[in-house]
Amino acid sequence: MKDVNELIDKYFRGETTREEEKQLRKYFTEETPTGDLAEIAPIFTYFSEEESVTEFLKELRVEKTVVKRNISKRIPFLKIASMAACLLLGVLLLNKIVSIDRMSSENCVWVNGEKITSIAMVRKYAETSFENVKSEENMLEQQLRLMGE
Amino acid sequence: MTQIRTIFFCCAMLLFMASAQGQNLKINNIFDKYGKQKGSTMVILSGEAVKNYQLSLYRSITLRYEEPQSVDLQECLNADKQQARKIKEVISNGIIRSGYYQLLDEGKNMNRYILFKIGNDQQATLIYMEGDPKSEELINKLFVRE
Repeated sequence: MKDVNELIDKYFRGETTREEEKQLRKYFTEETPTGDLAEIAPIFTYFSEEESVTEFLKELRVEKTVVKRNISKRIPFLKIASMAACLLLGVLLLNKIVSIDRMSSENCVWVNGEKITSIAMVRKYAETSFENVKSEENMLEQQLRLMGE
Repeated sequence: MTQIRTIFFCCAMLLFMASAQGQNLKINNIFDKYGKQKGSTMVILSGEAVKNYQLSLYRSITLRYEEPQSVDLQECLNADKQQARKIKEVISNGIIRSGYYQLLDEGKNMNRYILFKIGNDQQATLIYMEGDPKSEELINKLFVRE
């Protein structure tokens, strides 16, 4: 207790070091002083509270930076993910176009699921399909005939 | 801001892809679905083989006109003829019996045609052709009797 009184005197003379002030704050937070000491206790408990508030604010600031960091990490992730999705769609689309091109650049005929590439056969089947579509009668005659049926 | 830009970019890409996909004709599904099936005959000709006809691509499919392909055929033709700039068709009881459709060229300096007919033997033939603008006269001469 003697030490505390000496430290308090020193404190009011403005001669305490940081460490000594810390000791005083610790004393007033942990002990329940009586008499004269109880009167000056709020000075040190206030500082002690202030310190805890400062610490809390510091923690809050750290948390904010962490959140900011998370957001900044999430944005590139979103960007990369969306670009990857676009690329994938692009590749699929290109693949489809290429497969259509490949299909169209190859001359062939599929008969009952069997592929024939002989150009003579392909031409023959092409001519047959030409003939199937070609109308012997004109469209008006055809329409009138169907209406009469 | 960056996020908005990224989302905008993605939307633009998706719109572009959707529009690119939209250029596909519905009748392509008929070729894809029934072309290699038993009972069907599918012809694919391109390049030098059809150059003499002013064409760059010729695709045809002949298949039995019965369900489910008959339903698919009518649906696809009805959908694709919305893009046609010239239509000549014979319809009986709401069914397209034969049709000639010249499609919009979409600024590609290319003519596209769809021809369709259900024969007396209940065989349906569907033809899709692409060619340069000169092909129109030839196609008319070959397929369409005025």
